[in-house]
Amino acid sequence: MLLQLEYAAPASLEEACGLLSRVEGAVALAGGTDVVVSMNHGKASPSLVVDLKRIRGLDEVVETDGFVEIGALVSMTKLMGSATARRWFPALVQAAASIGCWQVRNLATIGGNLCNASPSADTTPPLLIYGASVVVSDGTRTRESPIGEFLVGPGVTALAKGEVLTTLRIPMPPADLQTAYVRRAIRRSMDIPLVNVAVGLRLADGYVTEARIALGAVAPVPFRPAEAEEVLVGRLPDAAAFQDAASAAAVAARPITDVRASAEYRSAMVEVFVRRALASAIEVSA
Amino acid sequence: MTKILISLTVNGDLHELAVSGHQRLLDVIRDHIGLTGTKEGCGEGECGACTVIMDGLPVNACLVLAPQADGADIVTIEGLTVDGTMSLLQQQFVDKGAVQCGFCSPGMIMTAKALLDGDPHPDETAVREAISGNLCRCTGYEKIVDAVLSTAAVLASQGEVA
Repeated sequence: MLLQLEYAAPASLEEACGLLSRVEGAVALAGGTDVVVSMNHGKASPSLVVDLKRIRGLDEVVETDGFVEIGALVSMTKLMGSATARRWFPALVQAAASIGCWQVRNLATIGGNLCNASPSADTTPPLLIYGASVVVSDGTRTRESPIGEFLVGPGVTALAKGEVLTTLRIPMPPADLQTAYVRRAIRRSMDIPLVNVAVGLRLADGYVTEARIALGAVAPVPFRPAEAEEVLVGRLPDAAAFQDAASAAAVAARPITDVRASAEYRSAMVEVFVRRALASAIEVSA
Repeated sequence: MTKILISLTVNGDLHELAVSGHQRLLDVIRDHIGLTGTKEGCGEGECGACTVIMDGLPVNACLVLAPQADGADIVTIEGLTVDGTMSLLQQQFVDKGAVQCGFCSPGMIMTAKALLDGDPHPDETAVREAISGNLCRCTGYEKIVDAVLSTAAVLASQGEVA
């Protein structure tokens, strides 16, 4: 049951931030697939919903000098259809495609997925391996911070009262970065991953020169296990190296037991899915 | 409680309504406009029973706040019939036995309609992927997939609209 609430759809960022900072209990609304559900369930009872949809420029994917800027209101469907996103961030596009179902992806936004700050968010591990930053505005000033700093804990971000996430800023990856995104879920659709993994590898003369690995759903915040990445550098991208990285990732993971899976199962799956992601990254581009 | 004035087009008709911030598009379609073909199943975007086509794309009407839909072009299951005659897609659901209890059918058909509008010749994988957000607890999906594929086959031979 939804509680009584006010609604505003300001046309400017200044106005939106003003409302969010002045009105006690105001929340920002992007696609609504998380906010509206938590209101339906009574988990959230905002006094005011500030719909961001009329603010211009928040739903575009733009290539700038060495970066791609993805507006916070870009829907999963729009991201999947963006030639720029498909070219530069295939693992992110794949993650977007694995969210919910078609109806949900038509509403759900990349900014909303980040601000919801679920430990198992599909888009976060790919954003981590691509080194994405978020641009946050308070209506007059903007600040930029890495995803790893923006996400503070389950459901908690570094957004201050009156701030809005406007843009994701992602450096164009090196042309030889080979990536993959894999997830373990019980159902193919409408299911949250128990473990999700994004990886990126660069090779020179057959040896790994750079490894990026990000794990989701196995810690309060998705993260990059540095030990697992380092163990790969200088090695041949073979089964033994992938197993060493997978073992290191499993050690770094801090999963919990909940209704969907036990901590032990998640740890075991980290190992399996890191191995699979690494093998898949090499295979796709081979 | 401030009422918000919205206008939206539903099945080609323009409606101007005063809604509350807490009302959902689903409530407006069923309770204000009186089109009860769109069903509420789970109310949390999991089952697809409330699927309508908004600006060309299928969405869960239970996840859209009514004021969010201001200015939108909506098509519901009632919008598929012409002068009381079922569309090809609806007729195929009947002919293939794709309807049992019928509760999922309006949402299922709207998703299939959106699929066929964008891709008149989907393969079975595309059909199953498209309807993966529409739960049916009766049919086992086989006859639903048959109905969508046979609609596509008829479209291919006749060049009609789903």
